[in-house]
Amino acid sequence: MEEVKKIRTVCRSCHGGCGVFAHVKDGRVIKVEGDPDSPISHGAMCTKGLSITQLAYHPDRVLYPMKKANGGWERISWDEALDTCAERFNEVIEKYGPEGIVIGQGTGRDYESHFSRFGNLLGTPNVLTAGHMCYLSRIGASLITCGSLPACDYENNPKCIVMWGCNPLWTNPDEYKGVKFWRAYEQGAKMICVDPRRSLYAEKADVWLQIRPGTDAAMVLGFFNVIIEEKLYDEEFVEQYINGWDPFVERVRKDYPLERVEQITWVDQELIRKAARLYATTKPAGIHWGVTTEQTLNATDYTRGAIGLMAATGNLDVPGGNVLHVPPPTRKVSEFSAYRQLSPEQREKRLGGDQYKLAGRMTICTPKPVWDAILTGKPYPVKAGYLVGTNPLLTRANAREVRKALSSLDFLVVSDFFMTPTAELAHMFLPAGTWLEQNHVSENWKFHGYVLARQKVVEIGECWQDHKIFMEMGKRMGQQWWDTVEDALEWILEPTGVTWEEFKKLGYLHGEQRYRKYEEEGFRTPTGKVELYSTVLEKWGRDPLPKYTELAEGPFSAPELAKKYPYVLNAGLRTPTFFHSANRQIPWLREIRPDPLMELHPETAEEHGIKEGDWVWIESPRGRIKQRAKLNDGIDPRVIAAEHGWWYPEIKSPDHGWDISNINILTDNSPESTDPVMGSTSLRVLFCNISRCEDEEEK
Amino acid sequence: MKTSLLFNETNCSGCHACEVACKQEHGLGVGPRVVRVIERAPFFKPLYCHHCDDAPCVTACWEDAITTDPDTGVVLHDPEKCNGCNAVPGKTGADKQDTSPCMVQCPAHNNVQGYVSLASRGKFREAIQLIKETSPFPSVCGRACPHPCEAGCNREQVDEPLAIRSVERFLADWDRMSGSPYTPTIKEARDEKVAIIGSGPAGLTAAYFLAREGYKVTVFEKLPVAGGMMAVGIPEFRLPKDVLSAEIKMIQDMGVEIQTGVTFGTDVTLESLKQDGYQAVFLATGLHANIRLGVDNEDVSGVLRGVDLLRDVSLGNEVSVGNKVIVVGGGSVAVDVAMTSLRKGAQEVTMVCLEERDEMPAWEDEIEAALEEGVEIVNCFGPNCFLQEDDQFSGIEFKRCTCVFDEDGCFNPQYDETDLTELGGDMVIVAIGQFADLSFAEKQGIPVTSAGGLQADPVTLETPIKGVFAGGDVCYGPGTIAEAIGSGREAAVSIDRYLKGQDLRLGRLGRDKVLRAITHPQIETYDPSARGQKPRLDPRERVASFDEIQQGFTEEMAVQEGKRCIMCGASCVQSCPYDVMQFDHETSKAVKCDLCIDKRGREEAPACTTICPTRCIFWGDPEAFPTAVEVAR
Repeated sequence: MEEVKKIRTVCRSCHGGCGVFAHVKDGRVIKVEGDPDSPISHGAMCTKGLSITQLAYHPDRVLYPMKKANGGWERISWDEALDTCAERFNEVIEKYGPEGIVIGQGTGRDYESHFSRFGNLLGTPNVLTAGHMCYLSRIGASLITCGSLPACDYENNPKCIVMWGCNPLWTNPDEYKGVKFWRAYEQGAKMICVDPRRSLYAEKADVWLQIRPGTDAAMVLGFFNVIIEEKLYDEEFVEQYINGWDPFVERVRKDYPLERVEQITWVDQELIRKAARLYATTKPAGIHWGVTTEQTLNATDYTRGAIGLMAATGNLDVPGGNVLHVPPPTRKVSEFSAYRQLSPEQREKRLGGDQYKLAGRMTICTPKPVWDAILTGKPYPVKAGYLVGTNPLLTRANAREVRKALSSLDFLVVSDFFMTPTAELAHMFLPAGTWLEQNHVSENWKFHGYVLARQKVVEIGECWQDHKIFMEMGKRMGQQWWDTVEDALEWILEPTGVTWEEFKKLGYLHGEQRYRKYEEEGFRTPTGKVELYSTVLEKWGRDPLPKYTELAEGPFSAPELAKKYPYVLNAGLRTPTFFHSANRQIPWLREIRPDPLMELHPETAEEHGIKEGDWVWIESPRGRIKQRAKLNDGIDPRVIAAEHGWWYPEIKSPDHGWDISNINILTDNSPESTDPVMGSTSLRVLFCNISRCEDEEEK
Repeated sequence: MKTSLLFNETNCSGCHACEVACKQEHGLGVGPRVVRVIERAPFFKPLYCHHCDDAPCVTACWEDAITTDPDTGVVLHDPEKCNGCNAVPGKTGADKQDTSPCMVQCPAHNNVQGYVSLASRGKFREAIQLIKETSPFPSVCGRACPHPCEAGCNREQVDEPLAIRSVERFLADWDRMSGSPYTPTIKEARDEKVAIIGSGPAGLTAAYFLAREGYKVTVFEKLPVAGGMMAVGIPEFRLPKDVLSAEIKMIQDMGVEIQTGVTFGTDVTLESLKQDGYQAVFLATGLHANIRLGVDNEDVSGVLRGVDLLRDVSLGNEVSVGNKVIVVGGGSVAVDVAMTSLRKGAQEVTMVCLEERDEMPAWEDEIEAALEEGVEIVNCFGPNCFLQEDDQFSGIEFKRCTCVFDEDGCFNPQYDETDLTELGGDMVIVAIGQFADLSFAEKQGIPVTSAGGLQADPVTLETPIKGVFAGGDVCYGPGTIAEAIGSGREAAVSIDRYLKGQDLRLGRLGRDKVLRAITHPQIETYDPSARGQKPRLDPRERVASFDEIQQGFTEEMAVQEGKRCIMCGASCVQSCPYDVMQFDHETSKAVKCDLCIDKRGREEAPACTTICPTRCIFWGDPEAFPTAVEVAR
């Protein structure tokens, strides 16, 4: 028997990059531990990362390429799999052009660079990601407003932290795992919590704003109202570095008096005033982003408004505020992905590109126009799909439409760990490696100033890391790639002067952080200023100033429908154990959370005769699903919060119970419910009604 | 002193990382979780082994399988020694995570199985220590408790229930006679002062547990003696004075000050207590006022009230009873009054009650003892009116009671007004129940319920007034001593949490937690054996004095009775105050957190601590993020 070897690597069980030591014995990972020296996680890990051994060695994991044959799945070789894919894709290209192939990824296993390069070299502009309502939407709005994504600078201990709809102690840290936040808080930072549910943060906060879901953009404008009225802004900064301050002030004063903001957000205006004062007068102050604000039709307006807050209060790019991190000088995704090789004509063909120009700028599509094209052949036919680590049947709005569209494709390839409900629709399954099976310069597209060394710890079955799959399939289609995965990594690292072998030993590289860069360089926007008045949006014929648009499904915009569906459904309740639709088959995690939960106020429950643990029907104009009730007196009685991503791997039929508890059966993807430039879907603000499940049947 | 093992429960975000880290570290699959996070929206609480000083699980284990590491203070479980409390692998254990019915039924939730099994091994000191984890009054309960624990005993599935009360009494007597009765260690002294109103079982129990937590506790008692109904409601022939005072003395030895002769509402008030620096108050004033019958001539000479008589006798006040005494009532107080009357010189004592013989609320033992002593019992009659001659009581006219309880089981007596009987006598003692005298509440604006009790939350015992708690009979009406003990303990938990600024509701019985009784024990390996029994004193002799009538078990009897326990639960699982001890059904053994001492040694921090993003739990330097452990002693 071999000694236990400890190999330092980086987790990717969610979107983040926590430092890990993997313990390997006899060629098998026996456990993983947090890396105390990780600049992202400082030794902490979450349940999802800790359970990677149960995922990687799960008996249901698919370890070989498979093809659909005779109504079932059949093991094949990589050669056969890749040759078949190349052949089928080439057929589509010949007949319909490369735009007839849609490629899609989920939250990604850190292969964005390779995924995009594959798509660009293939020549298709039709790229599906989660980005229209997750992270890319934040980045897109940030780019046009201040040139980069500002991140809360915990390195320099903010004195005031605004936790705006996020829970970094549980879920996706993006920039930082919650440890850094917690340390800043423990050192005495003031805290403002914006959250419709009472949470640990709400408990600890100096001010808790129990906001009506989806009205964050109005809240930002309410903050501004106080800041303008009480002159709490940084006059010098505003004067020199904000584009369009005067028209913005006029709009805030005219359209967003606090009485109106209170009416929209359900938050007492005095509390809003208190929070705005606390934020504007405690320096430095940082806003911690959450994904919730991006899942409404106000995604872009909220993000732009929040950046406006950071800027106007003098907290932008200052230590302890919201900073624009300087990454290490690696080759970035934009360069690696060879977007320039996608011709202007092909870019023009991006489905929904005319409408969702910000999404287009981020080189992605929003899903709805793609489903429409598949189902109607308009504006042109889309016949093949290649989905990597994504389960859109569970994770995209209006799931029945998604299923219908994906079922209509002539050829669908899915690459994943398990036979998910989406994978079951495919013609070809490619087994992907987990982060334990991956060499990569990880987080090379994040905004925290680090790149981290993820190194391969083991190989399992015939699974390949995604990067290799893209490379090998691309090569078969005549694309230009490197010989090996590691060769590509050397190219990414080259400008840093560090080789892949050296990088693995170092563990991470950190950019040389500088603050107040705007003093010398200005901001990377057309005017060189923070564009509260966006010249880009103006050019696109959109409202150049941040505003609040009433939700498509809300008591003000659809009072009649509101009678039938009296509750606000927040369809994105997070768990501490699952990453979107993943992990439902992991014993340690399912033991903690065996059933999908929907939270409701005890008074609401009583009205419907619902008790803790009862199965409850949740119904929207699109359909109905079942989840179990969890009573929470820390939630507004008008709000229902329900978990997303639920399917049942233990149900062995090919649909795996995909529509029993799947919240996206209820969600909407109609154009009027989405962000006008990004296409962000309104996942947090839907109409719903509830009733107790009468039948005793569990699922 | 232990290395810093620190808990910031209020910082738990509910991420569950500690659970999974623990499972991974110990190679566990689905099943017992020795570290757990309980969720009750919107709060979370991590449950993990506190490695308590004087850990109850260490005390409770009759096999010595759980020990405290002398170097580190870590509580360790030895699976080699653990026999899963007589678990038979593959045959039993399915519900050993649940609780033995004796503990469920005990209103104070004493770990009966734990102390009985220790007694069976002659580990009397450990047994008494375990009882005193949950109750300061084993001598009292060992004598005056109606032992509901025995009613549910699973031994009945073999032959007869265990004589639990007799074992408890033996242990308490052994402790008292030992010369150095077990007194719990006081945790670090704290500055906060707590006032307790009433020195009955609820008040003194709260005082005991608060004193153990280090608080400065003062008990204010209206009567000239401490003990409440234990002192003035239970006659000496059941509970000798020196036995009670020994247990009260233990509480005083822990630093609790008892001021007698102080009336709440006049001598002290909520306001004056506040001014004197008391930060919390517990009201446990009990039920000391007599319920009246409401019949004619109820106030003539020769009519006495049950609890007044018992109190006067207990306090040594002059009491003279008639020759021919009628006692109205069928409960324990009525029986005690009847037997006390005999000892005070009554020639003839007749108890008259509404209930049928088998409906009488007094417990069977008591009734039998009274009958032995010559008390006559007349069932199914209620007083119509009292008769008098020259303002002197001369007898009662009774009417037949046809039915005491209605369909819902509520007390709602029905009479045949035509069936009347007269009974002559020169004294009547009315013992039909007590109620709370709440005149103090009205004056101080303390809310009262429509049922005539103090208003308090059933789980936390908080009254609507901040920092004021209420429990015992004064809240929920007449109950047993064990119920009062349970209530006093819950009050202490609430007051401790209140003074530490913690959530009062989290993880509490009746809120987040239920005790489920084990119903399908393994009984195949037990042969029938007779239930232990010890006689009462000769009735002809005993009525001449107030000597204790029930004799106690000998050492051999206690050991033998202990051996009859079929160990249907797991003693350590049910002893853990933090609900972390788990029973592994695969191995039929208990499992517990050992702070990874076996896996990681003593220098490296446990997996659950290093993983926690908010440092809820840590062991080592409180300032540093835990990676290593300093073993400093």
